[in-house]
Amino acid sequence: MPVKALYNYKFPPRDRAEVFGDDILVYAYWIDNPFFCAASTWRVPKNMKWKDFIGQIFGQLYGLDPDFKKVKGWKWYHFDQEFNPSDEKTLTELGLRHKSIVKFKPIEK
Amino acid sequence: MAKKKLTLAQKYHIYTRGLDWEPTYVSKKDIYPYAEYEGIKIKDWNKWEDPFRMTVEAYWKYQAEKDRRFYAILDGFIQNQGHLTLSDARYLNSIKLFIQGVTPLEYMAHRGFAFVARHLPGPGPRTAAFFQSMDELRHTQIEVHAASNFNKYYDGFHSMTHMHDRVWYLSVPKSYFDDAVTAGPFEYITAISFSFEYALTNLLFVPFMSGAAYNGDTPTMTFGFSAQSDESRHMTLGLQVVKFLLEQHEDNVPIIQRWIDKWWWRGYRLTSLVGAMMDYMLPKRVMSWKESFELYIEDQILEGLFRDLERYGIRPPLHMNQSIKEKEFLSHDVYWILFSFTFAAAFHSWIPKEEEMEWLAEKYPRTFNQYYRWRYEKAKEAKTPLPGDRFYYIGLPQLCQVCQIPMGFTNPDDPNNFVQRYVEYEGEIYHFCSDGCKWIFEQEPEKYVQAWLPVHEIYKGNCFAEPPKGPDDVVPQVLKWYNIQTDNFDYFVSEDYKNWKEWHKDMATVVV
Amino acid sequence: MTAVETKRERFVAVDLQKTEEGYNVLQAILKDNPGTRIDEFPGYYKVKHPEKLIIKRETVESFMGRSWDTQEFNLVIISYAGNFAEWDDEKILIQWDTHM
Ligand SMILES: [Fe+2]
Ligand SMILES: [Fe+2]
Repeated sequence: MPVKALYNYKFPPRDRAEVFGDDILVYAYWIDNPFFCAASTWRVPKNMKWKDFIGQIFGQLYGLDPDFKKVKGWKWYHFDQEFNPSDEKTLTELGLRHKSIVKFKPIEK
Repeated sequence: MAKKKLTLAQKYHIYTRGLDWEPTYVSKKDIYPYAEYEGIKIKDWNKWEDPFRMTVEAYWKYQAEKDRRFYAILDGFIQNQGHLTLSDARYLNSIKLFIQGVTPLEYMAHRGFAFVARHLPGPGPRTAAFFQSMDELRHTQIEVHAASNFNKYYDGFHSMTHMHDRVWYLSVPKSYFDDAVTAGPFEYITAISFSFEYALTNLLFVPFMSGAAYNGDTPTMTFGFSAQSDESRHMTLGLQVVKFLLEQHEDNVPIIQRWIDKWWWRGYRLTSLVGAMMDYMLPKRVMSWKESFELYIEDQILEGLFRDLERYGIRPPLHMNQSIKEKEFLSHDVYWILFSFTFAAAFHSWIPKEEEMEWLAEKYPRTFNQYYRWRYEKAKEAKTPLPGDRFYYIGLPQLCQVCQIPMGFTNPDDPNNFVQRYVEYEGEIYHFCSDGCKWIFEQEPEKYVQAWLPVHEIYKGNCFAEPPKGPDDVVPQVLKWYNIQTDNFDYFVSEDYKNWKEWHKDMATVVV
Repeated sequence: MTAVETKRERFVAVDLQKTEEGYNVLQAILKDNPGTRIDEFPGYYKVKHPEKLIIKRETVESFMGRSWDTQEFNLVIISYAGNFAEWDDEKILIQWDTHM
């Protein structure tokens, strides 16, 4: 439904992909762990390698959880699709786009 | 023969109708350019009944009396060093949120009602909106005066308007009201007078203000009740406007219903901040969020108001059931968010004391111990390099595109996870905290694609006092831009706590 | 998580300031409205009735010991639930289900 207005009401999205140039926003979410009160937001280069991306989010934020070090490995989702990112691939190569969300949870043993 | 005194109704009729006139050399459409584009159809403005019948004379008389009473109480409190007799300085953090988040909305309401008072073609509602515009300015003033006393002694009160336009959690109330004032006059009045004032302000101005009284803050109680007494008049206006529009034309019914659906959810999300204030920030508590929701929303609004509106073809708001389902989670979710990001806030938070956790467990027997208590236990272990012996979320959260709150609202059907929704619109992705916010976006995507989301703005470099010198300088530059000085971090490492202990060191009532 | 608890009630209500004047208005309400219930909270009384509440000038005056204008009700009311079905020089009536 359009906005009712007295003129043609059309504006560019404030946070559209082009505003971020060679970077994208990526959200990250630890499934079943509400200790982190919401998913997190990261501005990262599109061609950042996967290992650097998870190095950053784990190093800065998720490693703060005392249970983090007990985790042996992670199961990954892009939106709600399971996926198997390899460390050396870039975010773009893995199919991530501006405002993608990646979700993760510990592999049970 | 003595002249007969006019009755209230006669006086009011003469006052509002007698002074209106039909234009002769300008068209009505030119005088009221916003009257039609929203699609609302009015057949006869004279069908408007004024429930309050307030004349200007009575208005000045009673408003002046309300102000006199308020200032007498405020002066007494100041002369008596009343701030020292509060239950605990922790209490004031709820008032910081109030002054930063709500008071600027009072000012916006003043502007919004001035707009409505100018642009509604009916003289009756125009007069009521004019009074309300003045009321809202009075609310702003008495709240600022009450806060200015606390500002002499405590952090967090020094920069409310500056902060309101910038700080991340204040974009929640700011964007709410900006949404309302950028709508037409009929949507605005349905949003604010009806949905907000009739349904939601009770939660803020009645049980919360009672809590202020209980914690020894008589000025806040007095401005709260004084403002809410005007609010009674505003509620009447809201209800009357909605009933009038519904009776004027059947085509108005679906438009009003859509506005009620939208503004219930917008207002309810905003009011979730009050839930955290009531359940966590009042050292002495009157009523839980859940209890006040049941009394003021489920009984008064659903059992009362909406049963009354059924005959007009109006049903309860679309996402009301989700609000009911969330009532045992909401305040805990929001306080946990505020707690997590206190390093970037102009108020303090703290781990609830053991007896406070017991109160929470008693009031929320099905959720607090099960889903929330363990987080505070873990927060004591998960320390960061920042001041305060506890956890902070060292990062930036994902925000909802519509309500702008970090997306941390528990899914009652899967209580270890938050509700997350998204849509793709014209090639871009948007995320939402709830079906309610997603639905609002889908009604008017063109409006919400423009949202000024604090997290994204920080990442675009729009929120720094000076360009950061390195990664460690990012947060300090944002705080400087916010004008947050010693206002942040845990209560127990704050200036407020240090001063409070100092001021009470010879007293037996010292709170540790 | 089991189903949500809910027990709902329909009533009209006024929330009155716990002041000297508020107390007198409360006494007048109790006299003129049998079946009224009061919940007390810090700073205010919540006055409830299953159907309607009437506030009469004369009764309030008898408790105040002075003349009282129904507009003065604005000084003691904090909030309400219902409609102002009538508000004139003699009385104020609050109830649901009123037509305009
Ligand atoms: Fe107000
Ligand atoms: Fe939202």
